[in-house]
Amino acid sequence: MVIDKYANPTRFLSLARYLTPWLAGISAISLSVGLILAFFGSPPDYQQGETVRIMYVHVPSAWIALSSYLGLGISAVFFLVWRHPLADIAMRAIAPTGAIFAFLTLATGSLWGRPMWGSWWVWDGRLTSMLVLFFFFIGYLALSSGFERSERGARPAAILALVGCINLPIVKFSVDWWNTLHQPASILRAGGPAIDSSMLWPLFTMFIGLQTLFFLLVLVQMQTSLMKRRLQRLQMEA
Amino acid sequence: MMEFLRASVMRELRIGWLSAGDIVAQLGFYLMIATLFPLAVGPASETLAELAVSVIWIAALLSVAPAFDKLFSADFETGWIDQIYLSKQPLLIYVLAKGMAHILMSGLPLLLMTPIVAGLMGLPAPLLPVLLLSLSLGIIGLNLLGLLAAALTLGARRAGLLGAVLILPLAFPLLIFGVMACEAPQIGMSSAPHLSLLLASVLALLVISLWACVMGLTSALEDR
Repeated sequence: MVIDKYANPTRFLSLARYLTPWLAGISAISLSVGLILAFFGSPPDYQQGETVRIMYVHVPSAWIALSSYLGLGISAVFFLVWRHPLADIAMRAIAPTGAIFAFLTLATGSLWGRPMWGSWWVWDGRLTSMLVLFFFFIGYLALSSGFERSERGARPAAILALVGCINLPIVKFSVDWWNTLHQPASILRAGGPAIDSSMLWPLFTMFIGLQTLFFLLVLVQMQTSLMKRRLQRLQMEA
Repeated sequence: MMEFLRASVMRELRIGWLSAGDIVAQLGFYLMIATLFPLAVGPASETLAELAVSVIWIAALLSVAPAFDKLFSADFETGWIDQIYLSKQPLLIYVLAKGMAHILMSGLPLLLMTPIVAGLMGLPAPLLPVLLLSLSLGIIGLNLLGLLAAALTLGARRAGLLGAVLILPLAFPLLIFGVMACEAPQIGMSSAPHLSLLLASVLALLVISLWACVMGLTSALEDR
């Protein structure tokens, strides 16, 4: 399996070093193009007016927050079952980054909700389950760093991350289960996207930009913590 | 295995009896949270009666959630858990016994105290049975979450606060279904669907929490 090959930190580091500039380049280009398209290259919505442009950050952030928790859960399985040496390092990098995207989702949604719904916050199914997702990220961060020796927190935090995965389907399907204020899925749905291509393109470009930014941030954090461990080992030997 | 379960429950009850003061403190805390609301909201009886179910549920949640930080620590330090781990008895039974004893020692008194708190809040009398039923399921669920949090935070700094931070988001379904079960009769609906969902959540927690609790204890033993 490919994943076994990169269990070797040195091999992983050389791959990460190779990928980092590519990710940075793709992210910078698609974010700039995406922002230009979002601000100047797409029409205002016929109902929402100019506020629709918040969506180009809000929707990709929500996707990334959700998928990063899934990534956390998958890494937890790799850590608990196969003791993959990079899984813990990956989880510690994914969790803060995912938490930021979850926060970004909540914050941009709130900024949009004020003019559109007339309220910064409503206790709707999707908003609440997204907030719970954010709490799970916080819980993971608190538990993984809550021990004197940080390695000691790895397994309890991985178990917690797995338990938290029950929230993922709740976030995803909340808009279908509870008929609430938050609009239902309009991109990934049966019968094709219910959104005009003039808005789909900026959204897609922003998603590529933010998703590659997420991968870049995670890779850089993983490299840093691998370097830190190597440094600690050298200090112990010296 | 049943013999081990029975012996473990008896052991936990005997040990729990020695620290009965903790239970008194927990009950006092429960009563005090419920007292704070009339002081903050004002003594108007209609408002209080309207809030009664939510207040009682939140008071129960807040007084149960921080009570788990020391659940395993004594057994962990004395090597009791190591002995079970090394013997042929499953850790699962030990964890189950711990949970059952904790529900009997601290959950049951809380439940017995609830009619008094309900009286103070002016809860309409016909609602009391459904409140007690939903709260007893809720307390079982909370104890299961408490086992999970206690095992995961074993040996952590500030384990009590950390445990509460882990328990509360996971307790949201219990709170939602529990309160909805009590509110349904007030608008002429049946409580049964909400109670079924609450029971389903508790059963799901039974599987998830006990598994995670045993995993957490095993990791604490191995990475000590």
